[in-house]
Amino acid sequence: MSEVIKVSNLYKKYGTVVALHNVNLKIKKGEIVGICGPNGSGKSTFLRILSGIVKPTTGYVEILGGVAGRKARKHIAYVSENDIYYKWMKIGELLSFLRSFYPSFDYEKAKMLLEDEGLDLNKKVGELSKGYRQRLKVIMAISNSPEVILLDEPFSGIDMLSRERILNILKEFLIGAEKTALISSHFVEGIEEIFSRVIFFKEGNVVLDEDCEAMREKYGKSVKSMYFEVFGGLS
Amino acid sequence: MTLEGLIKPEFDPNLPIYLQIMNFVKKLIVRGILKPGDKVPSVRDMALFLGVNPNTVQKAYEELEREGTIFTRRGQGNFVSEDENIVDKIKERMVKDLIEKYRKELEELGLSKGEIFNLLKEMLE
Repeated sequence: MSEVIKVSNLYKKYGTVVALHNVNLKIKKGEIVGICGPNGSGKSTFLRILSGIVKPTTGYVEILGGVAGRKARKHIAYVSENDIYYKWMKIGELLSFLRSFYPSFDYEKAKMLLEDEGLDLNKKVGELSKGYRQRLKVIMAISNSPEVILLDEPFSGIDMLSRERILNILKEFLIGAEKTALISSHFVEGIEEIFSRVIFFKEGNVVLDEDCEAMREKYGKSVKSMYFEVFGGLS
Repeated sequence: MTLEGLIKPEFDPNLPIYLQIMNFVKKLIVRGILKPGDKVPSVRDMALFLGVNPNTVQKAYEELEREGTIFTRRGQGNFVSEDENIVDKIKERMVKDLIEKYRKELEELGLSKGEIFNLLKEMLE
């Protein structure tokens, strides 16, 4: 399998605060990677740099054979934790806007997925609950058929049903299509089965990088138990 | 066969999931849902149904092939072994494993073989 992401000596400083120390890793096509760690561990910074929104202080990121940034962005979807759409926009208007903006946007697919979720095209973005806004973002992101999808805390602060629905949408999109995904999350229960690999971030460093099945086989531990072991400091 | 209507098994995330998928397929064979010579659901369909990573299903199928439960026809996918005794063989193995597991646990509780035997007899009567 070919590598889609190559990160060398990645270092990022915000003012005097070091967000990422020295990250080196490679991610192959088709991998579904869980990026785990507590708040402030560098997960979000890492994903933002991969997306091209944030530039590293030093170091190098190669993504889909090019430097992270505008050119590669066409095939990369980044789903931010924050709200990104105008609150006053109707979902239908947003749909038309994205279609005109991205030539590869699959309008019909997006419409169908929105309907499946019961998202009314005449509703305004601002009228939606957080769970529904999150579903909307994920649907819009995958409707552009990206090769790589970066999701920053897609399950944070939403209801259980939305979480389940988003997981299903992602599974449908990722499984079998050999798409590459990096999903950051500070909890892993119910999600870890879809990960092929997990990377733990702690204070800007990668402290664990393992194939999930190898981890279960070697240590008899789930990603969740491993997380507690690395971060919990208990027992 | 179709996976539709089947109950999705709950996996224990502390144990390798490929082993649990192997067991799931074997149970389908023992229950007669998959018959000798039948086509096994594709890796993609199985992964979607189970909600697991496709690589994990691939690994499970490779192991099932290695132990002779299924075989691959190039370009056509995976099939259950045509050996007519396959069902009995799997069943015997699974039953033995289960009994062995509970015997161990009961012995850990300090029960003797005789006590286990009598208790079992009592319960089944």
